[in-house]
Formats: sequence, C-alpha cells, structure tokens
Amino acid sequence: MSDDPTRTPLTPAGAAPSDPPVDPPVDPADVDPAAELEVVDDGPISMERLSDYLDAGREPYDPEIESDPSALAQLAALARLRSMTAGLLAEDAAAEPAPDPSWIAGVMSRVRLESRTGREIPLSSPDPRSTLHVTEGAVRSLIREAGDSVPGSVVISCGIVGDVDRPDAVVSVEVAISALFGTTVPDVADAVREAVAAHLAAQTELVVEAVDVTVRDVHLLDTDGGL
Amino acid sequence: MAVDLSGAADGVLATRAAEGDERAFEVLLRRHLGLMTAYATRLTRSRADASDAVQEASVVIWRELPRLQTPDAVRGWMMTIVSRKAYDLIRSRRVADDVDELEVPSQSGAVDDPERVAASTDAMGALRTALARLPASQREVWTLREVGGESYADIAERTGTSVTAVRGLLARARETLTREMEAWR
Repeated sequence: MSDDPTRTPLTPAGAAPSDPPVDPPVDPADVDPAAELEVVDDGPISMERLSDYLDAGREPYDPEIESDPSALAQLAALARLRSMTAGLLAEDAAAEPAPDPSWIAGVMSRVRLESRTGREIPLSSPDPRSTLHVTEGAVRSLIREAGDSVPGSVVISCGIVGDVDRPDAVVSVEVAISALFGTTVPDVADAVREAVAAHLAAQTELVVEAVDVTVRDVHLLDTDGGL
Repeated sequence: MAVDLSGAADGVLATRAAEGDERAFEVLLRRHLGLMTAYATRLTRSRADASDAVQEASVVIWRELPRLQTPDAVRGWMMTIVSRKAYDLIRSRRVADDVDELEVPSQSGAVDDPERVAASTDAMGALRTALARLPASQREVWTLREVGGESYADIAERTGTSVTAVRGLLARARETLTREMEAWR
C-alpha cells in the first residue's frame, strides 16, 4: 500500500482511515512452504535477517538488532567470518600458479578473432581500381596510443564523431583521460589534444575539426606497478 | 610505445577493453585470473575443469564487455560469468557421464585437500576444514554467495532451486561456520 499524496493526510484526530490497519509484513521466510529447510534460528532474530542486515551495511539502523546482545555477538561473528573469507580467497588466488603462457595465448587469439573493428574509414587510393580503408578500431587504437604517450595521462575512452565512412567528412574526436595526481590538469589535457591531432594528421586522412579532451578521473602513481 | 597499464584501475581497463583495446583486456584478465581460477576450482572441484571454464568465461567476458554498464564493478561481473561457465561445464559433464549421481563432483579436487587442511593449524585452516565438512549443497550456495558475490536470484537459477531454499541453505552454512570459528577468535 502506497501513500497517495493527493489523499487528505490523516490527522491524529481525523476520521478513521479507510483502510483497516495492516499488520506488519510477515517475513516470507516465516511462512514459505520450503520451511522444511527450516531456517536455523538460535534466538529471536534469525541468521538470515542478521546476514541481510550485514549485507546492507547495517542500514537502515535496526534498533531491535542493535540492542540485542546475542544478535550483536552473532553479527560480529558473521562480520569476522566475512573478513576471514576475504583472506581465504586472497590466499587461494595467490596460491594459483602463474598462468600458463599458452593458456593466455589461447584466450587472446580467440579474443582477436572477435576484435572490435567498428566502422570502415575509406582512404584515398593511388590506384583508382582499388579501394583502401582503415578500421575505426585501428584509429581508436592510434588515439589511445597518442593520449597514453603524454606523461601523466592514461586514456580511458575515445570515440570518433561524424560520418567517418564518407571520404573527406569532417569529424571530431572525443577523448576521456585520467590525469596523474599532481600534474597540471589543463596542461595534460592540452598535450593530449595536440598529440592526438598530430598522430591523426600524420597517420590518417581524417579531417579532424576538433579534439575534445575530458579529464574524467585523477589517478595516483601506482607505486608497485613498476611504471 | 606502449604505456604500462598494470597500474590502471579496473574501470579504466574495462572501458578500454570494451572499446576494443585487447592489451587492456589482457591486463585485466591477468589481474583477476588467480581469483577467477580459485573460484572455478571451488565450483567444479577440478583444476582441469576450472581452467576450461575460466577460458570460456574469458572469451565471453571480452564479448560482453561493451554491454557492461558499470565498468568499475567489472571484477564482480567477471566472477558471475565464471560461475555461469563453470555450471555449463558441470551440466555438460553430468550429461556426458550419463550417471544418476547428481551430487556435484566428488571431494577429490584440488580444493582443500586433506593434507593441506591438516597441515594448517591457524584460523584460516580451520575455516578450510569447516568448509570442507559442510554438506555439498550448503557449501555450493555459500561459495556462490561469499566467493562469487552473486545475488540470491542468480544462485537459485544456477543451482536449480528457489530463492527461499538458497536463503535457508546459506543461513545454515553461516550458522555452522560462525559456530566452528568461535574457537579461533
């Protein structure tokens, strides 16, 4: 039952509500026929309810749980189990042997079979009997390379806007980057704009009217990443 | 010159991979491969099957990345695909084996083998032991939830039960595990 905002609000002294008072909703787990699986219940507050509460980050605040010592103890035990589970997973993952190079190669070759080439961008051909084109995917890769080459910049996303499949079409390029914390963001953005424009001018025939650079994020130098 | 992407955030790698950057995909895959393999091993209880399931999952991850709405949450999404592929494999094995043994693969897996479990005397070892002793159905649901972070609905679908049954199994697994871990605080 939802509150209808157009309905006159009930005042304490108001007329009896048109709907009879409704009992609080019954936890479906209490009435479900699958109760043969009988929920473990070592107290007035079920394990399921505690787990759900923990999953929800203990919000909204549940005074019944938060004021019940046995529930709080169970909640603490659950939280502890969860953090131990995270440790166990980390241990498992770390114990995995380094991936077999041939396994990785196998995956990557299947990935390349499904490469995302995008649209075809025509190139002028010295020989009128043949047509040449470059894929949008290859141009994107060029844009990424140009943006990444600027110190302090990592390209997040890029796109070519316009009718690239028409020769001589005027297009614009959109690049979103993450800038290294501590760099002068406008300078990095300018350098990316210049690098992308220069790369595209040198290596494609696209008529680029604008390169729009958005700094979408700022990242910290990854100290153990070996940059 | 290729920039080093090893420090790039998951979301950056996922976005780049979605736009076709194969190198970013490989960095992302290598970063989470240990976890994906450990998860698949727990589900299939076989190293060979886990390797196959993760390989299939990896290709699907690549294919479906452009449709991922929240690139920052790519890790959990990858784990979901791993379990999907692990269950595909388990199902195909059941058909191929043509046996009426429907219990998910036997204990003879690489996971929590007795030697490893017996050798550990710490709390983590106790958790491994407790997990290994859980009834298979509880352990399965617990793994999907706590290792894979999957929703109750997805778990119900994977295991062919109802959400209510999943919740009950999970509650009992948690009850047992927290009780057994009491001694290790």
